[in-house]
Amino acid sequence: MKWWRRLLRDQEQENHLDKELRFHIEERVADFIRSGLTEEEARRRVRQEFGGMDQVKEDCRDARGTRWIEYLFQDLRYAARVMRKNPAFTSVAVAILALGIGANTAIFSVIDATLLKSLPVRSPGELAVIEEINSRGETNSLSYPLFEEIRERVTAFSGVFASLDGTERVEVKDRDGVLDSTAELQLVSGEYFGVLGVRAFLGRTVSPQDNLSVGGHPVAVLSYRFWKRAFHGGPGVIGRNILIKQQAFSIIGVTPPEFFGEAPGVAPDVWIPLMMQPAINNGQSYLASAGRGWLRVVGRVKAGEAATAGPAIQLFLSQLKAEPGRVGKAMMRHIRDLTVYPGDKGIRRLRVKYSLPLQVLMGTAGLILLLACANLANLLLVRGEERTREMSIRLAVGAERFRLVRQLMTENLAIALLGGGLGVLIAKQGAYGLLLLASDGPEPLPLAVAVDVRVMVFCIAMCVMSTLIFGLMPALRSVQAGGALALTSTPRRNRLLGPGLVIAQIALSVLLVNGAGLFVRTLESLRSQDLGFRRAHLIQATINPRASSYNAAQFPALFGRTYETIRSVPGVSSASMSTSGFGTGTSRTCCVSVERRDMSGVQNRQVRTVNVTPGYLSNLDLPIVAGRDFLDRDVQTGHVAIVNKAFAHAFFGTSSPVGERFGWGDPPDLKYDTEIVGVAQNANIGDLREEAKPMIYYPTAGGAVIHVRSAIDPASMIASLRSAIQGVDANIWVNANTVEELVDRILVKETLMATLGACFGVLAMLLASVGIYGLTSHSVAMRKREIGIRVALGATRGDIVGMVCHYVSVLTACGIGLGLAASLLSGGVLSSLLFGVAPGDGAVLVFVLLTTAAASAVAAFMPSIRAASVDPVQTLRSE
Amino acid sequence: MSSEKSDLPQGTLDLLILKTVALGPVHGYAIAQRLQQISRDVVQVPGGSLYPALHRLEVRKLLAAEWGKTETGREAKFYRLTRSGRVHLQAGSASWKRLSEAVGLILGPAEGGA
Repeated sequence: MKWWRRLLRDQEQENHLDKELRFHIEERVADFIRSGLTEEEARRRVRQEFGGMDQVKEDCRDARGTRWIEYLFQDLRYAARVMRKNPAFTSVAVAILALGIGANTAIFSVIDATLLKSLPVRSPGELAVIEEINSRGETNSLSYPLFEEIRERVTAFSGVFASLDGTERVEVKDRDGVLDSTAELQLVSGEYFGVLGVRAFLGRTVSPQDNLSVGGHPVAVLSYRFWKRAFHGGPGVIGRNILIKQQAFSIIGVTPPEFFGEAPGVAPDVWIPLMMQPAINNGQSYLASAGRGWLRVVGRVKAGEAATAGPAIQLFLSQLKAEPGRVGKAMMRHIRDLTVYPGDKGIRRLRVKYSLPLQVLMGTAGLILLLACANLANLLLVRGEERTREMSIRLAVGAERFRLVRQLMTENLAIALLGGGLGVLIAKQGAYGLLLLASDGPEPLPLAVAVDVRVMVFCIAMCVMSTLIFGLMPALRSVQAGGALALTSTPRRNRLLGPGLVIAQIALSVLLVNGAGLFVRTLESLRSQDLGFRRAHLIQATINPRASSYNAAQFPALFGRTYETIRSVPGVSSASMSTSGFGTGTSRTCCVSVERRDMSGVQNRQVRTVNVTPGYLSNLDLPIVAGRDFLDRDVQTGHVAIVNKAFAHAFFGTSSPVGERFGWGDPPDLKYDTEIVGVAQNANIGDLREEAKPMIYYPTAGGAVIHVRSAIDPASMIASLRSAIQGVDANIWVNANTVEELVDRILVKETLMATLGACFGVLAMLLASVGIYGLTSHSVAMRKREIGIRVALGATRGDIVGMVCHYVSVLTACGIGLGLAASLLSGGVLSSLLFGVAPGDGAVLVFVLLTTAAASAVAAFMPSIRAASVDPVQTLRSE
Repeated sequence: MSSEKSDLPQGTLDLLILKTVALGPVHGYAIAQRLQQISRDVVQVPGGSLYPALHRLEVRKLLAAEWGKTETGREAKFYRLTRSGRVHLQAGSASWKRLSEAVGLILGPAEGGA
């Protein structure tokens, strides 16, 4: 019988037991009467013989094993009573635990969504993601012809699909002008939904029949969230038309709410067939190009044959090398390898980025919970002393020790569960905040983070674990003390346990504050990293003419008009245009050759190239260290370039490159037709941890990236820039930010670590201070008599304060020592997340020492004052 | 209680109960009576031991119980042997027989000699 059914049947069981025993007694009495006894005598005999009715019942319940439930309810009732009687203790304990458990649960829910949870698709364990490694050892997106070859030739897969590697942000409209929304667009092959095993929530999904002829399948599947957002979840959405880049798409279905795509952290809103790609790229088709990598490819292996994916792809690669098919011999030279990784958790980009930071955060939150537990253990020890008398009495009247320990643990568990319940609420908000912090835009990272069964199980496990950590020792101790003591004696505190716990708390907080210091320093040094150019008052705007259906031939005219307009905007001190900017990604070209230089020994001939308008360098305040800046006539004449210092160093060493010439490729095509006229300072292009790489600036008349230097308020400047550009063409998509904002956006991960690290550090310090305060005031209270005697014998107030301070400073010193040792030992884990600061950084250590010392001084202040004001006469008399 | 009654070795009570119940459905009081009669008053099981033992055997599914009427028309809880109870009884009495013979062998000669 299940225990809960037993519980329900409890009352019935009791009645039966009572009836059965009563029957026995009545029969026995009747027998005795029959043998000649009076009824009174008979009953007396039976009572004597049978023993106590209640004892027998208890033994029967024991035999049935129902007693623990009864005890549980008894204990819970008692726990509730104890908690109500001590509201201050209960609320402090619950609050401390709620913070600790909440932080852990929040971080776990995000970890679960990014690192642990499988995709909500059919048998995710059978999915395998194929990656292409190019000749430079970088991971590349795959081309459509390569996908076709994989689909046809790799028989180990029961199915394989391709999808756009990343999403494209587009505007979604309709002909009536009612709908106007932005959406993340994802292009998928016809096999996509079938291979993933995702069924439509409404209508149907894209099928292989929707991906047969180029441009012939204008159908779209919406995500559940987009359907809710743009169509308010209306059922009549199927069959409606939407406009994406002037192409009409007919909505055929909506995906289920739990499906966020195959790449955690990047949630598409609209899926369309791959064959529609030219329609959204101005008619330019990528489908036949073997040289353009733009897809990711995921296969499903046959059930139970997950290990076959790797060898199958290797076999395919060797076949492809012999017979390139659609990929072509030329492209095969650029493919060094094809590799496979398990796709059960989806595309791993986000996982790779956040894996270590999340693990460090989880560890930190774990330490916070440990600290909270140490704090509670201390509180419970103190309270245990207050309850020693209660325990003694209960033991004296015959309670089992085990029962008492169990009852105390039930109280502790009740507190932990209350804390955990509150913690879940904190976790919900916390996880949202975490996603907001981890996202580089105003929207939180689109992740399926929810308080689901897994998170609840984690939370409950946390509650139970912390109950054991903070509660078991105090419970055992107070029962033991209750047994050991006569009722009359005053309780004695264990000399080592309390101080040990406080030292552990200080050590933990030192560890956490040290970590927080390192992360804050990292953020600072990255933020103040020299970009090469002056970022103050610099605004970067990018326009996307392709998205507004301009073709390449129309670009120069558009750029020219835009440039004119911008320069005349009031408040613009200077402006320039270029083909790339900070954080936009920069073209790389191979393979540079420098005149009169042997290039055969040069490992990497790939350099970054960017076309800039004359005046670009002075607008950015990027110093020219040798030679000259571009002149207006350079745009017409061409054949001149400015290189950066890294280029000069890589190809010319210490000699000056000014006046030297370079060209592209190898003989016989090679022509040294470009003269280096200047050398510029290295400029950072958007990776703040990166060493400068060789770069070439070419002169041009315009580009899609605009830089404006302006002294007026950036927000209003951006607004007037936007309206100026849209005055040129109302359909143009403008993206404008200050460079400061762009830097912050790049530092999302570092900001996350520094912010959360600092929060945890402050919390840890606070908890440790409470611990120090509690222990010190307790020890002062315990030593009142001793202090009274000392004062009576002539100790001054200063002596007494000194005594207390000595006690606290010994504890603090031990804690700091332990904490620093732990910090140095664990520093290696953090080193890859740090920049411009090492785990043993002096300034951080000094900061940690000072804050910890200050915190413990503050915590010890009140107790030492109390100690100093002990009146010897009163104290000695009261004993 | 009188000193002539022997203490039952651990686990023996269960076996005696099973044996008694094996004869047919019977209530707790009758089990106590029968044990006393058959053992000629040597074995007297106080209610404080009998009922916990009965409940333990019931939970272990060696006995099954249902409520029924006695000959005098009173309601009582009747126990009967289950299949696994019967198996347990056979195994138990076999091993008991072996043990008591062995103990008898050891103790037997000592009574006459020494």
